[in-house]
Amino acid sequence: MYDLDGKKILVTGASSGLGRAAAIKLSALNAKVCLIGRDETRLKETLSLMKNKNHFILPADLKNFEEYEESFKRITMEMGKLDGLVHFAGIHKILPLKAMKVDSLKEMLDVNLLAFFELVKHFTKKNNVNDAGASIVGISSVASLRGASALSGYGCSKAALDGAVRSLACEYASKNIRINSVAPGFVKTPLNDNTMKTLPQEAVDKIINAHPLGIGTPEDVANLVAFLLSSEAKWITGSTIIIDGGFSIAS
Amino acid sequence: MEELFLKRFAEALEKEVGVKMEDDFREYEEWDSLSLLVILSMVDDEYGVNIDANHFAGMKTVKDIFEFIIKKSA
Ligand SMILES: NC(=O)c1ccc[n+]([C@@H]2O[C@H](COP(=O)([O-])OP(=O)(O)OC[C@H]3O[C@@H](n4cnc5c(N)ncnc54)[C@H](OP(=O)(O)O)[C@@H]3O)[C@@H](O)[C@H]2O)c1
Repeated sequence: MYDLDGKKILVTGASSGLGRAAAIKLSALNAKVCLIGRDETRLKETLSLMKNKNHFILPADLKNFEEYEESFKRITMEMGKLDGLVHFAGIHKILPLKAMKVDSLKEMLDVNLLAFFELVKHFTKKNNVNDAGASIVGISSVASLRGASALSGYGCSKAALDGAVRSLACEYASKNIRINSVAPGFVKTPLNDNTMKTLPQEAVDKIINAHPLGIGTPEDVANLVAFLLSSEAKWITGSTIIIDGGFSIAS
Repeated sequence: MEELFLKRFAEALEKEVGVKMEDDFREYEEWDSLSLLVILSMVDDEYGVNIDANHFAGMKTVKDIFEFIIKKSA
């Protein structure tokens, strides 16, 4: 088993679901983690579940782009230069086009997509990133690859993220900064529990049955993310890696 | 408030003749699988009220939805 051996990794969305599971996994591999999310209480809950206590909590709303510079200053002051970034923070709205308001689409794009651009921009600055190289992971979704009614906004935010990753990977390869995205299928998390409450039972069963291996766990995704952040993945960049129990290949 | 709700409901479903409180909304010709999501989004956007699917399943008339909103925003 590989070890992240003191690597400093920033995890957004660490207060819940997939981001929390990843923070826990990264700490088990001896990484030092900066946890970002709006809800400080839930960030502290994540911290209490992590190995080692040398991590750093930074409550922040990622929609406040003007705060990023200051935040990164605080993070590097606390932790030193960073080796990894993973953007789990995201919003999932089930919105038929008819019901879609521009503001609500903008909010989803702000958190899922524009925050990723701004995070990468600040993360890759000379003062913030390890000179030897680094690894960045964006969290996409199978909704970027497969269509479904009422998911055009969400799917678009994730497909755009995958598109960004391809070109950013080229842009930063010379600095040995690898940039990939991970596209999970349906995983049981609080976000999904909420979504499922708005759906009729037969729709929920349909989602579950569409995954040949069944639905996933947050730990399944955390394992893949940890691998991409490690030097074991040193030849992987610009890729979108699907992890979906077979959802996207099943007919 | 009642009138505005009826207007928003009718607009969400593009029901030009309008809707009435006593209507069984599932009987509308315009009602389809997406209508549920359209109405849930409208109620969330306009009134900040979330209705979960279980609750919604028990609602029959336009008035049931209206009363739920009143109860939740009280
Ligand atoms: N669960 C799935 O089945 C699934 C499948 C495919 C892709 N994904 C993706 O995986 C990611 C995590 O999903 P999840 O299921 O773990 O969701 P979740 O439990 O709802 O967690 C979402 C996270 O995003 C953070 N967040 C949201 N808005 C934010 C903002 N404005 N500023 C800072 N942080 C913000 C939340 O933190 P606060 O509330 O503390 O701000 C929370 O930690 C998302 O990008 C989602 O699209 C999930």
